[in-house]
Amino acid sequence: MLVDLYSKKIFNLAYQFAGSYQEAEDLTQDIFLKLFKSLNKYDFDHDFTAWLLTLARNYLIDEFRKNRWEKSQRTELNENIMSSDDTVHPEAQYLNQEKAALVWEGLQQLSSELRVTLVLREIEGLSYEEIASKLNLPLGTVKSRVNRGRLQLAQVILEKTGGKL
Amino acid sequence: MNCHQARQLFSAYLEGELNPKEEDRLKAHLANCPHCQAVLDIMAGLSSSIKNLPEIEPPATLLQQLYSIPELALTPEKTALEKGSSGWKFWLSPAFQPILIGLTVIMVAFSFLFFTSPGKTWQKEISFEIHRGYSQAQKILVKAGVLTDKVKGYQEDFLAALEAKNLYKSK
Repeated sequence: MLVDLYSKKIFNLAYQFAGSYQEAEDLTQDIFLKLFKSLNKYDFDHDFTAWLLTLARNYLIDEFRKNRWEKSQRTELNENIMSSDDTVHPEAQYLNQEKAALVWEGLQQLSSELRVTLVLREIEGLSYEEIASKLNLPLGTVKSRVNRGRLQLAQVILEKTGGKL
Repeated sequence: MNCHQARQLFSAYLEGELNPKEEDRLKAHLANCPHCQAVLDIMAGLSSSIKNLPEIEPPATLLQQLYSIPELALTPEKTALEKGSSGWKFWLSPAFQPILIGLTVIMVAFSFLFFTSPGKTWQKEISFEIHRGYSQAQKILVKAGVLTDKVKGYQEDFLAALEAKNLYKSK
């Protein structure tokens, strides 16, 4: 079933974009509603996962452009909501979670503009040109936002760890 | 190059987009600035850290809501046109017709009550309206007659002018 297969991926994507647990729940529901209503438009010659993720990403970008997701709405990532991987050694898992929590905390401290641009670049793997086109921004602004986002994130991590990430 | 200028170039440096001259200047700054070097080192590892963020489990309540979406989405929604037409069908249904007739009678009665000038009976009002309509029709007919005559006059003048120039011969 589509929900079993894709809910986790879509929820995580929404969470990375919005930075808020509650917002991510609402966005996931909206995306699935849109998905079920758009199923008749799916072309069977194309990869379904890629089609769905594009639909989800475009929806999130549209929502970002409309709402901007203010900082006050955000929540912090904690161990309770982070899934654990049983195949990894507990100590390594702890370090991974600690590192992930740090990166997540840094991401949360970014403005929504910087975070969304950084997510599109680092997680979604879009080129600068693609991001500029999707966010309707000049190429220079996108490059500058990605650099500023990375810098701010690195500085947050540096302050927390003293450079040991 | 100061720290601010150096940091503007970090992403381009990490992505190999700097020209050799800029790269040399940046490296010279980094050699003398351990803080910028530390920031750059963290930045260099960020891409993989962000990509490898662990996935979060969606809450059970959300999953329950997601399972109920297909029924919601696949319930045929009435289009605006269908909604509109079904509304009209309701008003025109046979069961509703006696009520429509009743409403029409009431509205006609009210129109006589509210639009009749004070002091006149409704019979006088009807007679007055009929006469007014009749006189207006007469006026229109007279105007139409005048117009027909004028058109005929123009036609005769025009034909006479053509005849005068030997362009036309009347029978």
